[in-house]
Amino acid sequence: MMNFIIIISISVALLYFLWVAARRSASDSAVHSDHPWEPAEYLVRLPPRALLDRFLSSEDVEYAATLHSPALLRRVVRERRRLAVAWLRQIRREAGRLYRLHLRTVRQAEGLIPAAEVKLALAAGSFLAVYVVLMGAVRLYGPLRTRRFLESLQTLANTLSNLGGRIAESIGPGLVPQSDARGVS
Amino acid sequence: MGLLSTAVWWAGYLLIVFIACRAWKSKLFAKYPFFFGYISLVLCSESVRFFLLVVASKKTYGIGFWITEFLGAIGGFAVTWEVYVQILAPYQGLRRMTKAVVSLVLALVVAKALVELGGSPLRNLGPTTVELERNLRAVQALLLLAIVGIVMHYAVPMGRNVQSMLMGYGFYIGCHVIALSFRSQFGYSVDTWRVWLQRLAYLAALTVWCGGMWSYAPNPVQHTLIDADYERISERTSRAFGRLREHVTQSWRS
Repeated sequence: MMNFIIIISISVALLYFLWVAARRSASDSAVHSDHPWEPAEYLVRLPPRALLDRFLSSEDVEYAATLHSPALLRRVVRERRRLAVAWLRQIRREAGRLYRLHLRTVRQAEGLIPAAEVKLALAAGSFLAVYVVLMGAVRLYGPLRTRRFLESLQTLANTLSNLGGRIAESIGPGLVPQSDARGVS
Repeated sequence: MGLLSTAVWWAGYLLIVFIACRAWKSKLFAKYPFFFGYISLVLCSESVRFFLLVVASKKTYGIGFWITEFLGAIGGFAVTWEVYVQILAPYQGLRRMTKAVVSLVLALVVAKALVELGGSPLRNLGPTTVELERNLRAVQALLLLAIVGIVMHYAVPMGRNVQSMLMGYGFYIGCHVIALSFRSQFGYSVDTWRVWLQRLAYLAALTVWCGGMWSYAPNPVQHTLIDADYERISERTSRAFGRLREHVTQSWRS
């Protein structure tokens, strides 16, 4: 039964990917790109950080709260969430554009290294993981609480890092292996 | 054979004769020797089957059918090979990447087979003809899945000929393996729809080949990048992703 399920899955996956490839090639046939790569295309176009600071500023929410209108406050928070989601999506689109650009360019490279490609795919995957976590947090808790949570996380990480440094110092240099010109002493 | 089934068989036969004649006229045999080798094999198989159906006994036809079916399954590797050769010919780096992926896939297949044989060697050493054919076709499906993955991931452009080869054969293999798996798992109870699924998938593949192989349409020519370019591009992408990750996490701190 296990063999049956594996083989059926392979066949269904093949049929599905062929269907996707056929659809994609039909839409891509008009925009066929085989031009040499331009360094300018590799410029990272990010939405400005000031924009995020502006719509995550607590002043607006505090002002809305002083008006004692729950509907207005809800609307402000909803609007901030929408903007934060749009900001994150823009960064994800930029990541997608960069990765697609990389793939389209390096497919012609003679010296393509599979290990380097896997490493880049992992970098793209880790970025995507960060994006998914942030997007989930923004959708579930809202951008303001997400920001507070990230700040407290950062503070905690700094505290732990300092603590680790102090512990290493208190152990003393004599107990920690030191490396010199001849190697580890 | 019923009237509909005879009509489908004749349609398939005429289509394959048509593809061969058209390829002969367009001088495609020399361009795609493995693919048209397979087409010739299928044409011969169909002719032998027809001959046996008319003149020989049912038992002889059965033996002839399974021999030609087995030869077809082996010959199918020629189409897979042609697809690989044609798609990857201009891409030396991608060939290396594909080699790594295919090696991994084949290693997994071998490892799985060894684990199964380790469990009960005697029983598993003698698969039925249906299982043997299914396994051969399943390996082809895996290889095609790997090349489709590479083509999609790197957005490799294909000419009409190669695209029809991949789409037609991939569709046929996908349906064929599903049909054989059900036959192998559930026996004769699913035979009617299995036969129809195989025949219709075969007809669909032939129709795709008919359109795609009408005339010579090579893959688009690509310019080649040198090694230094690859290193630079790879480094730039890596740096760009570092910046993106930093931006997305740092910006949320006030």
